[in-house]
Amino acid sequence: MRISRRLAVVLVSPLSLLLIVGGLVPAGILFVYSFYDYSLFRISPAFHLTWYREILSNPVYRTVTWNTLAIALPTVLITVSGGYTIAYFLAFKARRSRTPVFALVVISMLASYLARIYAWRTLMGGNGIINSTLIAAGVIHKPIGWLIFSRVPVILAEINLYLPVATLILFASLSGIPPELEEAARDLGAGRVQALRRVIIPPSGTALLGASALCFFLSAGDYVTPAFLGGVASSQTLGTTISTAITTEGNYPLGSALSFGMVLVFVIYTVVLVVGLRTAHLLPRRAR
Amino acid sequence: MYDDNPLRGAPEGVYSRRYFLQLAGGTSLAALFPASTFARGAQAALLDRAAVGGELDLFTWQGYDLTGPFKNWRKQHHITQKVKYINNQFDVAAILRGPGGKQYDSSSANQAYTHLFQSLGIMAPLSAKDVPSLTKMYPYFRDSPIWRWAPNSNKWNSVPWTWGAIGINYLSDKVPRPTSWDVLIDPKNRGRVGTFDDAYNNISIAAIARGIPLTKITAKALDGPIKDWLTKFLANVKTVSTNLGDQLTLLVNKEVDYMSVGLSLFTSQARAQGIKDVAFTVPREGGFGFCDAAFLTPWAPHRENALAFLEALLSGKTAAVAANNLIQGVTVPSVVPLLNRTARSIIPYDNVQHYVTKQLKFEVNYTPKKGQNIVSFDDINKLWQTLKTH
Repeated sequence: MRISRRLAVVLVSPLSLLLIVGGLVPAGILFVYSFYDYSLFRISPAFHLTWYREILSNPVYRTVTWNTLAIALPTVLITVSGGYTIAYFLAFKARRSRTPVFALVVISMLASYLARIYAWRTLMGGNGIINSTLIAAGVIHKPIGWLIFSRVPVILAEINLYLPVATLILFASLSGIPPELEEAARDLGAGRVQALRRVIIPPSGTALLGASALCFFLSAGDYVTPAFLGGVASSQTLGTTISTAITTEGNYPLGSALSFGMVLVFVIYTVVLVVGLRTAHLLPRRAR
Repeated sequence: MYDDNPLRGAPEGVYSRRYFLQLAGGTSLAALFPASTFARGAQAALLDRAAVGGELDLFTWQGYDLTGPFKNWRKQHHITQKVKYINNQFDVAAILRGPGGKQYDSSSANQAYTHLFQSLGIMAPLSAKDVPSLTKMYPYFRDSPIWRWAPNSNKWNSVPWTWGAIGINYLSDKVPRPTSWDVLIDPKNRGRVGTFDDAYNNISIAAIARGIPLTKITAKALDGPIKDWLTKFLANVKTVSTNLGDQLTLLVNKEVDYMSVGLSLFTSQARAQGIKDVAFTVPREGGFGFCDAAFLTPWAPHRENALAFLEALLSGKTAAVAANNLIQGVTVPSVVPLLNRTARSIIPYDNVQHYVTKQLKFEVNYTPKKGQNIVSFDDINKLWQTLKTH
């Protein structure tokens, strides 16, 4: 069905307006703030690069960036590979089980975010289900310390949070690939891995890029999970630091500068991802 | 002088819709006898204060909303309450001055922040006409410049209504009572300590542990003994709680054996959850006092309800219910006889003046005036953020 250009503009305008007003305008305001002066809850108009210099020169922010990457990168790797496996199963292998598995993926997204984080505490805590069971079974004599309030539970909880998102993105792409393509490749002599790598993944490369980028953005920006499940230092990520700067100290200029620093990290990550996927021939030259 | 009659002044300063109607009825009746003094009094009261009733929006600490304990009070005065919880004291300025802050009628200020908040324009001046029991407080709370709008002013910036000591909560079934703050930096307690994400409280504790007066923390002391104590302390800390509820959860779930920035409140709240082993103590170096004051925002959309709430926090049975529930001190002497035994036992009410001026480290100063060689909120925030990250 073809729609007229005028109708398309009419249909797209409200959402475009929402994106501009709700996304670009606040971002613009934050960008302006990042050059402002601050002294304990008082911000005043100015134009200087103090906050950007502070971010680049203060080792605290390097540590915070490292903490962020140390959580986000393993989260993305496991989430996207796990999501791809489930999406592949749903698209090509599942027959009767497709509906229940799909329902499970969707249902897992419905629980409250905070409830899920607290559930992880109940599961992984010093007196939680895992430690108690292992102690009762005589496998360990005292609770495993790193199961809670370290990077490990933060990564596990974030995988749990973002796996359904990645799965749905990847399934949407994989379900558009005719199953006969893989069969034809196998008939022509390709092995299982070769067929996957050269026939299935490249057409879904754009979705792979999208899922990887989105999960990274979500993980790096998350300030709740690290605060509730992380340890003292490991909970200090870019997300929690921006939250502290803005909501605790009212330091909008520093928080804004950190936000744009985080955008820079996102851009570098995305560029590296695109180059990596293209080099491995997993992404079409021109993303569709 | 303060009013020491325990039975006087229960719900003073509180005007419900019912009261308003009664007054209106009385006024109508009195209109038939314009010479009567009753008519004059009723009309004056009517003109002085609008009716209480409707909404009340609070931005306060979890527990200070008194949602459960004040249920009858709200019902009596036809008030519906909305509440958002404070995560830490700096939240108050950030939220009230930020977008959406204008919806709140009242919030809470620790004694270290009253003048900062006043200077930031988020507090409205209060008179005894607004909150009558302000004049009935113990002299220290009534007269201290901490809560006065200006020196020798007859106005207050906030209503100091609940107070006590910051100490250590500990699991009495697992560890002995900590007699010194230094228990928290003992390497054998690595991973067994919890704390609250707040620069002011943690740095004040470190200063007390190192014997440094809270009114005279210099940059040298901050970068020396205080930083040293906090570094050792954070090495023992398992996790940093972002709110009071999380501190309580960690204690109730027995994830930590010691909780710094401890409150007697946690003992009562843990008991309410069936956990009797969460104890509270003040180490031998002393605790530092906290006194939380409720304040009215200059833009309060429901000003009369907020003023009624402030009066209820201070006086009569409502104040006693609040203190019994929180297990914290009251500031109006007439409330003391109405307290239960537990709430009465935590404060030496027979000599409050001596306790708050000599024993408890109550006076703090993180808002130095020009030329004072002491650290500011900015300095302590920076140090806390740096230490947490490494």
